[in-house]
Amino acid sequence: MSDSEAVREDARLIARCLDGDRPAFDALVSRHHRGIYNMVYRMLGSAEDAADVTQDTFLRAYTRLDTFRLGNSFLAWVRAIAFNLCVDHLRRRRNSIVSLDERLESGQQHADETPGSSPAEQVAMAEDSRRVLAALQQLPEKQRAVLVLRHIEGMKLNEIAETLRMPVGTVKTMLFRGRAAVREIVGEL
Amino acid sequence: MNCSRVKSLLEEYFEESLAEPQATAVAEHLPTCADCAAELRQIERVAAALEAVPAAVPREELLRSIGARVAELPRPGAKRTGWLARWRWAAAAAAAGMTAVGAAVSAAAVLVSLGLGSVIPGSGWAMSAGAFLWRWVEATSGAMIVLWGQAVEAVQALGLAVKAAAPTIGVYVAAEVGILLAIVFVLRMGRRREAVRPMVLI
Repeated sequence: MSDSEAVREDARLIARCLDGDRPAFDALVSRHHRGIYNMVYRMLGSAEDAADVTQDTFLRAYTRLDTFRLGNSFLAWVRAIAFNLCVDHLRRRRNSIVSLDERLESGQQHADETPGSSPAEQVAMAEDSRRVLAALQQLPEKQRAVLVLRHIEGMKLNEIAETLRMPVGTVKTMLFRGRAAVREIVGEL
Repeated sequence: MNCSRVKSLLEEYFEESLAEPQATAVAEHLPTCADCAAELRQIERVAAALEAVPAAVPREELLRSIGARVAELPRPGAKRTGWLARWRWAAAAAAAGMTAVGAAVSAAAVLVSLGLGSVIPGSGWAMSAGAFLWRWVEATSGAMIVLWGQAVEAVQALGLAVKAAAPTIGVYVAAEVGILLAIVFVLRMGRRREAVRPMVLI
């Protein structure tokens, strides 16, 4: 399904949902919850927190669905909600002590499953990914979000700018500073 | 172009967002400088390591959990209501009460004007009680209710004049219905004002 078809299908489901067809929203969640979970997970570094924030994201999207402007990207809208909830969550978490090992626990599990051309390359790439993910968790929220959206979600700079509601120039600055900070933290790869 | 300048442009170069002639200058510099080339490789490896991170897969129960929570919520847009909506029922009740009082008072006034007040037990008392209730509602209700009450009062005054001059019972009833419709219109205006709210993304 192309991007424009996906946007049209989302719009159909949203229109049905606003007419009182709640299962249409279930279909929307089913289409997007994995992507949102992945983004949130990479922002927060914890599977449990990611599940909670993903759920809150869709609940907020549902209650505010009447404010969504049909014709825009539902996914970009939900990502923006998810990003804001991640920032809130991270701010709250600053006040509680969570060990870095605990936050990275799942990153290690997933990195071990990375497909690659040879076992040695898989191990090397998994180790690189683990180190980079660890560094990611130390970045300021917006830099982290830009890196996640650019490299993990594979979004273009203008899409990131739309999602995070910031100018493209700011996105580029954060991306470059974020990557430089990651290199600084992980050292030689 | 020296190494310091090239290194400051490597991120832009990697993103392919560097304008000419700088892009060409960086491209020409890289094969001649191992230090800058190594820095570009580091940028590429960081990006590759991030892009190689496999998608985190949520547990199956997440979808069911979201569905169950959504099922508990009111229909989109129904939950957030403005102060006008929150007061609408109170205002409607007050307006209905005022309408009843107004109708009783106007009916009593018509009867009195026709010289039948003395033969209708309690008509004088009804007029006094109606006037008292009217003042009480005005004195104790919120500003919006009073505003609506003023609108209702104006409509009722007009209706009273029409009814007083009503040549037939049909015109009298039509005037009464007109009053009720006007009151419903005033209340619906309040609803529409509440429905027009700014678009909020998040």
